[in-house]
Amino acid sequence: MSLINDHMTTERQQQITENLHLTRQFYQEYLADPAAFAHMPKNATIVLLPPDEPANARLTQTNLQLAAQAASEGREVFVYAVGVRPHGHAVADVRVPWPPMPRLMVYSQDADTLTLQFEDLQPVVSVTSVHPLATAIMDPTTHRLLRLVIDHFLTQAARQAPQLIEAVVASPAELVGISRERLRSMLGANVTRDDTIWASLLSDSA
Amino acid sequence: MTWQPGEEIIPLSPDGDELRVQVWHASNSYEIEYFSIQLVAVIEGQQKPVTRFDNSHGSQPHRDILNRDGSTLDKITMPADLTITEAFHVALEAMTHNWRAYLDDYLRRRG
Repeated sequence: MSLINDHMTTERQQQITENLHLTRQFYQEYLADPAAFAHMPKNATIVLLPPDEPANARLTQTNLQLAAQAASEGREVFVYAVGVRPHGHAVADVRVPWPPMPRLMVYSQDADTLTLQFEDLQPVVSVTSVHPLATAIMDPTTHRLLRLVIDHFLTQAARQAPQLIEAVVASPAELVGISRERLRSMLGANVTRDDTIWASLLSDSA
Repeated sequence: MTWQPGEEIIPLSPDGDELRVQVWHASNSYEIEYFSIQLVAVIEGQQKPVTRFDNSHGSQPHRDILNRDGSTLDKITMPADLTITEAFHVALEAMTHNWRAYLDDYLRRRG
């Protein structure tokens, strides 16, 4: 009989295994092009993010919490998104209006998180808690917003701020993981499009 | 080109059942010369090394099986035909697939 099963949930064990897979991938990318990591701080805590797919939403969110925890303990944190580093191709510096509109919104029912995707993840990102329920993933150089992750979306965030649901329903961006009909039924009222809600969300949470 | 060695900490799980990997390596160009990969559990607030792959003293790459007081219980040598860089990758692969067994064995040890 395993002692680990007595003390650790299956989900936690899965998370550890997935993070070890990410660790292997990270060092493969590192050794393939070490010079690209010259800016990585020595003796850092490295938090790895999985490929940006709906199936990975829970691991992404958990690891972002690991990053926030390490940063709050005063450690230097290097967040690295595995599997997205462009190989020899410069990332186009495309400026977007601020605040940007998301191009994709992904709801994870398991994690109850809503991730607003504005741009592709960069190899190195900075993670900032902008609200007790929201984490911003930024490009550390340009400070462009790449992702906004809203925790406890249906259970807490949407209840505290129904305009979040209104904004999601009204947004022209593709929505994955939940239907607009279901969200609309939670509101119980007609919704009119109001893009300025994104601005108020971001300014309120700054 | 040689990179200055540094120890990287990669957290695997949060407080409560905190587990992390600590990686130290010295590289020359694209090859690793020396490394140490250690699985560490935080038990009752104390960091406890569970097992360690390394060649950090110039020895053949191996895995140290550690006692709960940090001393080495046994040493398992990795295949001699591996380069140091290959041994590094094999060690990470072994850690990925066997971490449960490593931790379980560690928790059962008294010494």
